[in-house]
Amino acid sequence: MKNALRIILAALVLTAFFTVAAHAGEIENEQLETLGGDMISDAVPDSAQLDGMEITDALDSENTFRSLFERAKGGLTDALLAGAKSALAVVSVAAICSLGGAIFPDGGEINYAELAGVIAIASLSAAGFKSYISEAQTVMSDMNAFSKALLPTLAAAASASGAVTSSAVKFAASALFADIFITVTSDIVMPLIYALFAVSVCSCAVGSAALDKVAGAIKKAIKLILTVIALAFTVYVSLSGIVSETADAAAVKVTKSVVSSALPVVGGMISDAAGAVLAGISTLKSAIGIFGVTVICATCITPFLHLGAGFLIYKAAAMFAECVAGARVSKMTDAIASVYAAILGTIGADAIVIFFAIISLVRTVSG
Amino acid sequence: MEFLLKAMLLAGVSSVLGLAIKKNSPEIAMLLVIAASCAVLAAAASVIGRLADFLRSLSDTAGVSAQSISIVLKTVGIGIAAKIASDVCRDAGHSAAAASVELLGSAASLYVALPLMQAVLKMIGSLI
Repeated sequence: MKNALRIILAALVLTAFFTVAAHAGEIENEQLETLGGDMISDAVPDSAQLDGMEITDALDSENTFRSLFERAKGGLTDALLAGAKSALAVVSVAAICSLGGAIFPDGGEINYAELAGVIAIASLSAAGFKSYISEAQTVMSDMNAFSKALLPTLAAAASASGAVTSSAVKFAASALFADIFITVTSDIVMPLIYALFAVSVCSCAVGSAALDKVAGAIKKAIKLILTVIALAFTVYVSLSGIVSETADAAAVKVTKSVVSSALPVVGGMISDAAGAVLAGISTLKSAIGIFGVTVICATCITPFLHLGAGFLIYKAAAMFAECVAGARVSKMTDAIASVYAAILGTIGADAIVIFFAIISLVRTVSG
Repeated sequence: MEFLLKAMLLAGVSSVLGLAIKKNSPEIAMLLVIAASCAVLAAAASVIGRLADFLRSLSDTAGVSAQSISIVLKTVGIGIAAKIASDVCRDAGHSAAAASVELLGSAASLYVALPLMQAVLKMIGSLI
């Protein structure tokens, strides 16, 4: 009896000293570190830093939206001020040209006041155009560099959550189309945007219908190229995802049933535990995906606001110029708005390709 | 408003008087019309001058270079002067002189706008 009591007491003392606490929260951080979460945080562009937001904070949607909203609010004031200054310049020139218009009615002698107005507007807009092009190139370079760090990690998380085949297929497609997009944008679309500006200036200065058609053709070509790339990527990833996701879902189900039936007592528990781990990785995958989308939004938001405000303000200035100055001054102002829209479309298409890549990897279904 | 009405009245009255005098003395009629046109132009110049000052202050607020605005203003001024001079020649029945004045006005406008055109061509060249 005494021996039994001694044994029980010893067991209680040993249990008190040798038990270890369970820290479920550390597993998530370890998983993130294993998947390369540090690389993603380091790759966030300087322009998109969101008050020290971490990947694990991304699931708090309220804070995420608030950070983006604050950034947008700050950028909007600058964008409107810059746009208003440009509009004032156009309005001044249009008002001066309206004096000449009183003397040279439409269809009369060549209106050199209008010609000078067109050239003045082109010259005044040139600095803004160059700075927006440079901003667009920087933003797209930042987004592509960030996606190169984000997508492999996201693909690894998707693979770890059970979607082995589909994550590999989608990652390969994303990497391929991202490279195609970068090449096409830098070698074809940007030169086309420069050409659109130059042809628009010449067409409005000279008043040539042929050059008008050339400018129209260039605008259509830019729109077509961006649409085709975005559409081809969407279709390819969707179709390849359907086949590979089915295979992944089947593989996970088969594995679970094999494990639970092969091991007599603990098979079911192991299978359920594995399912819980997969679910945990899925949550992490979603957090990485939301973080990626947030960073891309934060990167794009300022140039979107600048270009969007510039586009709308120049459109309004073109309407004013049509009322007071001649058709060519109004057309020149409208052409500059179209150039800003083309730049905005290029940044938007890049963002859409990356968004779709992120969303398709986050939404990989593993059963 | 009052001086605008006076200017318009002056132009109208001088035109009517010019018609009346034209039968007997066409050259005096011409001189009368030219004198009235100059008076109305002088009135217009004072208004345009104030407008130009406002537009300059607007362009200063917009951060536009004064050179661009002054080039456009000069082009408009040359166009107005050339147009009025050529119409006076046409009224006198000398179309050849009118065409020469218009050609001179066009050439002068292009010459004044030359620095702006050179800047734009240089900018287009750097883009391409």
